[in-house]
Amino acid sequence: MVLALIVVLALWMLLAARLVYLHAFPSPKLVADSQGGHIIKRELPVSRGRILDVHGSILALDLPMKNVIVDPTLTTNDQQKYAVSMQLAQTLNLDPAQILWRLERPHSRYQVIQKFVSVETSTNLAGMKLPGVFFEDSSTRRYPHGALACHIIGSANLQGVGGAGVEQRLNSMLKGRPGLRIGEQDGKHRELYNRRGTEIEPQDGADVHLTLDLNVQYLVEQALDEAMRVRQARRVWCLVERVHTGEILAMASLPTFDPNAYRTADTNAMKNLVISHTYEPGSTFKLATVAAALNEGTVTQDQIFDCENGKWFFHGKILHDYHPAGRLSVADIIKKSSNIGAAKIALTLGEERLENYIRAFGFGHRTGFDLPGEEGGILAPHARWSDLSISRIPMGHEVAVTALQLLNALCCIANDGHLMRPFVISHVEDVKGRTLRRGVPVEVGQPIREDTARLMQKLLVRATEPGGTATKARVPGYTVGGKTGTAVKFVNGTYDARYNVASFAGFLPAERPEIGIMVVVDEPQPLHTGGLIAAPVFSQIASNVVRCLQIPSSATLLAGAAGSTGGVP
Amino acid sequence: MKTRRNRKKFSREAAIPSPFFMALGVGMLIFFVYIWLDQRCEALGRRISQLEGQKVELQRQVKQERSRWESAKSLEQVERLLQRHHVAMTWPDERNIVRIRRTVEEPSAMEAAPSRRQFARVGGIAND
Repeated sequence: MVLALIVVLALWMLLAARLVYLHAFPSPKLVADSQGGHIIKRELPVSRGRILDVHGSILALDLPMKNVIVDPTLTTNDQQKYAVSMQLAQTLNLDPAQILWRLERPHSRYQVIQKFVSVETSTNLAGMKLPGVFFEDSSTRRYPHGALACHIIGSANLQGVGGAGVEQRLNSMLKGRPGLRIGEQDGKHRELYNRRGTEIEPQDGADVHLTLDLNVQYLVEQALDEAMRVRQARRVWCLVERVHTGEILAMASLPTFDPNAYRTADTNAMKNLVISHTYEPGSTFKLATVAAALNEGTVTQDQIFDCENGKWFFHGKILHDYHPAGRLSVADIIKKSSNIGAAKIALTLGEERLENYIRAFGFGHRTGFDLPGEEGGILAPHARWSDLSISRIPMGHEVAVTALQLLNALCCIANDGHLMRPFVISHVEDVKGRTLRRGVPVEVGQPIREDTARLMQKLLVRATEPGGTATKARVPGYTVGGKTGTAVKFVNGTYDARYNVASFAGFLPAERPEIGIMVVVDEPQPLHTGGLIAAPVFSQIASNVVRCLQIPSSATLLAGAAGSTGGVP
Repeated sequence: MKTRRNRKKFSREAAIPSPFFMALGVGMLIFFVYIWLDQRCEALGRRISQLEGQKVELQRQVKQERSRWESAKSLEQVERLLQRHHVAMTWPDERNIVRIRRTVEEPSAMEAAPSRRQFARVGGIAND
């Protein structure tokens, strides 16, 4: 009896010893054999970073979604397949025949029924306990404000890769880093929580904060929408920039697209015209010519030029003025926007100096703006200019610029000659609140002296005064400085007067410029001049923007400057 | 006369020595502690997984609500609501703005407002 007990105990002890041995000193072969089918390696999903405006309003964020998948081998008979297809079709609003077609594939174990289904819908479906139906995690990019600021934000594709705008430019920071989990699962594919090995936490994408003000953007887009409709224009675009810093407050191009449905958008509508479209600017370009001549001292503001009553032959070609005039001072050449006057001012400078100044104002090369797709414009070196170029370039022909370049040059004048680099990305912050990148105002040059810039500010204000070309750009309570532009378009190898680009670039309040606004209207009908088409749009936008940004009126500034104790206009 | 009991005769040796029982007891104890720890780990694992699920769900809800809130307070939506309720709103005119008078000591509007500041760094690429 005792012997039997000893034998049994000894056997148990042997078994226990073996177990302990296997546990403590496992053979690699046995481990590999046992764990081969049980190891799971799972990528932990990561959320793409958000894009926010200057006030923290979310412009883009990732939303978790589900993909609905079926395993046809788990639906056993036709009746069951029919029932499953009907339920799925009803819930997902799909054609039941198509689902049934997918269910009748006995050799497939993975059929996608619908991608990016809301979690609520997937929860409803899960509650039905349909055989063979399971769900996969996925996410989709959502733009809560729809088409608003779409050209700045851009879009990200279904794989989470940015395809335009900020989404593309900062894709590496926005996308984050997915995590990794290596563990084990049991025979029923359930995770064994206590067997988790490697665990790398996912790192969500960083948040991108823009200098963009959504309120200003909305006001701009509304005004452009109305302008496009009323003026029967082909395209309209606009830019609002802070004069002292180069921060972009709004940037809009019409037509727009909804980034939530970017796949169905018209490719032409996806182009950010402000930075990617170059055009002959027309008279708005005169500000660079006159500023250069004043800075070099080749002319003075009171110097008189004969504007030939609107017709001037130069190198065998005739040059016209839209508003014919006789003798005009330099100040009036700006006010009346005389092409002949601008050409004669340029002649005092000479080709080389004119080109140097134009380049110093930022034309002919990219500004270095944050968004992808920026064009540098066209400006040939003066060695390649024709005999006529010196008379055409000063009035904005034979050159191509972007609206961003032109407004930035105007802001340079409004900023006492300091040329700032425009930027729209304020800062990028990771999930732990660390700043990864910060956009700071950077001065890229000073093409003209401060006194020249202040003189130019005064001359540009005259353009909005009675008798000037931009009287419709005026804003009640504010003194506005600016320049109109009307450029005939080059269509099918010739300048066709039926097609024009009307524009206005201005700044306010002129006493202490805060913001610069540029409006461009492409092919307006039937009116086509910048003064009649773009200037009123500028006025509409500026009237609202100054209130939105609480910019003090000119009267308030003057009262303050005069040392008044009041301040009430 | 009392006979003295022979203790040696009546002493009975145990079939299994007591150290063996002690070893067995320790083994059993380790076994039960192992089982208990395993169960505890299993329970904690389940709890962790459950909390992970809750966290994911709450994160999803936060994102969903943020998206809804952004859509609800979008300017287009606000304008639509104002129209629906026949509320006409406009920016106040400069004449409608009441400004509080300053004392002489206070800085003027020109001084108080951001002056012609130059935040700029000349040259350099701070934006990249």
